[in-house]
Amino acid sequence: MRWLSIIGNRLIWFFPTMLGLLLIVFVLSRVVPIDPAVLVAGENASAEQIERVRGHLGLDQSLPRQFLTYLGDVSQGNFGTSVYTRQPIVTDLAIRFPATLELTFVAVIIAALIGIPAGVLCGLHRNSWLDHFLRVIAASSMATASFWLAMQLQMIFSVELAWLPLSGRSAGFIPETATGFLFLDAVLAGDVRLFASALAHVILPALTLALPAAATLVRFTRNGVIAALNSPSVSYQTAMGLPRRIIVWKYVLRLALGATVTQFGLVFGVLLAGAIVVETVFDWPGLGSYAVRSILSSDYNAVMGFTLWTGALFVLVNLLVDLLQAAIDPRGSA
Amino acid sequence: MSAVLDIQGLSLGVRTEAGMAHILDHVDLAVHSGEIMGLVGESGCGKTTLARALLGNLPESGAWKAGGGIRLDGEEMLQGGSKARALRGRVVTFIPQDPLASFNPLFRIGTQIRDLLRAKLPASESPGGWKPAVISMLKAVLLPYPDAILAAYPHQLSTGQRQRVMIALALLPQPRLIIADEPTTALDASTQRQILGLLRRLAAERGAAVLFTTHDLAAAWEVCDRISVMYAGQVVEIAERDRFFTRARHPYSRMLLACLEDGSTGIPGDAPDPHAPSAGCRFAPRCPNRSQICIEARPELAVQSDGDLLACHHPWGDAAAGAHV
Amino acid sequence: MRGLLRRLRRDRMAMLGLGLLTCLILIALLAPYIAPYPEDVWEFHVELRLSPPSTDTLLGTDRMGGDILSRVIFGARLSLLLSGISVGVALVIGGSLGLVAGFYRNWISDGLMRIADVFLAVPQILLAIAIVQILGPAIENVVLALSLTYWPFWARLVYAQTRSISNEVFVEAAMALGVPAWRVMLLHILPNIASPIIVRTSIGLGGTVLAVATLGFLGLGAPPPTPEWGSMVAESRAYFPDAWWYTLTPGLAIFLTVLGFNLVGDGLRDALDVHMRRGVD
Repeated sequence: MRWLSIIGNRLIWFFPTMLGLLLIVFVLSRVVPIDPAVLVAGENASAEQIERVRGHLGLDQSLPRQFLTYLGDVSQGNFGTSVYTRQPIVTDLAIRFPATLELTFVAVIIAALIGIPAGVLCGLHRNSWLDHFLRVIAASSMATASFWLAMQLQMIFSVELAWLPLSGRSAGFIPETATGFLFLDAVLAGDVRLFASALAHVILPALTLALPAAATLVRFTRNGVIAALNSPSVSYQTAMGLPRRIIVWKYVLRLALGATVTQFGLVFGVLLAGAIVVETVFDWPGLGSYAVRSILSSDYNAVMGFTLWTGALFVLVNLLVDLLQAAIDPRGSA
Repeated sequence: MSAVLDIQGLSLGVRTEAGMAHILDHVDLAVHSGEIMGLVGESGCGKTTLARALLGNLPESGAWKAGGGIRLDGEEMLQGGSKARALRGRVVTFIPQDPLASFNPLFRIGTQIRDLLRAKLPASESPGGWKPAVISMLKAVLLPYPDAILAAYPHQLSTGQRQRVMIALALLPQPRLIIADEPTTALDASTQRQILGLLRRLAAERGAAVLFTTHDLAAAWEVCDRISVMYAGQVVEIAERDRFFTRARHPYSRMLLACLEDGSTGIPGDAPDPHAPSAGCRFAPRCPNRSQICIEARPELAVQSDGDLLACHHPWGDAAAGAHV
Repeated sequence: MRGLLRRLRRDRMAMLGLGLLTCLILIALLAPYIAPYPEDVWEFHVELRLSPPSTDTLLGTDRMGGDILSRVIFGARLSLLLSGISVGVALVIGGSLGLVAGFYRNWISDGLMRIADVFLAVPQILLAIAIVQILGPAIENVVLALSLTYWPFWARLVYAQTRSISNEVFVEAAMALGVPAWRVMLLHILPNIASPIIVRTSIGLGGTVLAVATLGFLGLGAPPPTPEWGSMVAESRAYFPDAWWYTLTPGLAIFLTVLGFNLVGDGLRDALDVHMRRGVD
């Protein structure tokens, strides 16, 4: 029953928030000095051609009407057409979303594998040289501009050592995929080369993306461990002579990880923001690079579509975090 | 009678930002086998620190300087070696003040009990596993439906139920000494009486000694055989219970008892600053019987004619107590 | 207070950060005097373009022949100015809104916070990119964009802090005594919520420096030849990896600056946290 109230709570605010977001982006897009009609019609179009395109795009109607029309379209699943790709935006998003998802997924795994154990070590050996050392590394990771790091990694691994490809998602054309997820498709089709290619291509971007997320995880996990070590339950178990390793690796760890999970929404935000830059630098065909390109080429329908998609994604992730939290912590009242 | 717990000359200081805080000053205390000793004092008098020192639970944040010793059944507990660790949870157990916070909220009660028992009691001691012993102990502390208790999470039980589980856990290893640190503070009045009565009965049945710290004299009266009074890190009086409540000798004890009788709010004055301890009796600034010697020389804890112990230059009813400073 | 400073002084990482920031500020202030070739901020020496580090140009030259060291030094001014103003504006506006909203707590407050939530629903950098793209590449637009995307964060933070403090007894007492609302907010509530705000400001400055650099990297921001660190890194991309010195210096400058802010922020957080916990026992 609790699940329902959690889901309900999130959904109630979903629509007004999306509405507000769309309104902002819509207003921004209409403030643009560049006329979308000119963009679509092309530079050499005549005045009447531009007028025809304007009517075709519905730009001759009043602003509120345009907005309502747009909302109507969206509710039917029509996000409009991209000026740049000339495809329905929904199609663009559907192609690009799995790419970002794959990248983010690999990045999360790397970040968790690095960040959580490091955070645990820091928390257990507070103020030791190891703690200071790892914290400096974490702080340094947060301070490194991801675009700069990306370039350095490319220089070392792609150019100097030539171990890994420079950019892109896989060698050659992206094959017509069943799921949109290269790894999944490769496994399903038993295509080892595709798998290897996808892996080689994803490593550098995922690493770049994972670094600030790992640093964030180090901090949260460390704090969680320290708080758990100071909690009265650990005090009691110590007083009752429970061996230290059981206290730490069973009870403290659970408490600390529980605290970390609640911050996952934040980590996701960090990853999404990072993806924008990382995808651009590595030419990764995902949502982030799509957004940047759409903005820079004044493709505002695409921008609105992306915004809608991202907003929904955030709500979904926050919802999942809430549910996960409820699953981990039997108390649930917090 | 043999002393299960023998504390001699225990001094504990912690380095804080404001300097060295002398929390405990030459504490002498003995708890005999099977007796229930009450440790009474205001908050901040050091009784919790004493319990934590015994249980190896001193917060590591400060730099602790220790003097003297704590012997449990002859074993030195202060150093915190592996022998001391082995005794904790087996020879000496603990009943905490806040039973909710003392359970890990993410694990079931049964899981936490099982882990404690597996670590502290070898399997050979209990044929059939740990569960029958736990069930019978839960019944002994008057918890109906013990299986439901084991399957529950800590937040699903009432405070009274949780404290009963704590008592059960403290008794299961058949300890020689139980440290009960203000175990009824979190409970309402009627539950308090039940829990206190339960504790007293079960401890007596199993021959376990209890060190019962509290700031509530009424609770001490219900449960204890002897009463020790602590003030500002010093033990000032140890007396048999009835003698204490009828004719306590230390002025501080007397004033505490007066507060209990007329329900007044407290004793005028403030507790001394542990960073700047005086050489004499720490209670002197608030004591109506004080004289010059009280300020200069600390009174020793001396055995009285009836076997009780007192650390005072001018006990209550003393003729010489009039030479006020 | 003294205990706080003492704790901070003992924190080696925080001191390192403080050192970095002090150097940064000094460099920014003294830029015209310490840069070997201050005129390279806007002058070209095409014949010297892309030369590696030498005794003349300690860190090499860029594609226009400008001395990279000098341009990076002047870039410090730009970064500090842009992030300082952006964070300042966002903090003042967002913080004021959050303070008032948290104090009054009516439907207007709720509405305000919902508006803030809308802004926070997308990554900040994306919104900033959109705003700068629309308004055009210029320093003022960068500040505007970053302030506009950052204020909701401060509004939410100050709102939450104000709400929790408002429940304290001393606020009720002040109101009962007839102290006017604005005084309660400024003199009673604000000092008590200052600690987390200060911590976040330091970290926020670091993040904003990164955001400014990212915008510059994407070509949004002050137009060339403004010596902005991010745009310098972007320029270097074309000559990468041969002209390795071109990427290195601006990247390092960004790194050291943000690191400084982060370390100081972390140190402040640790010192204040213990301070607060100490007050409890």
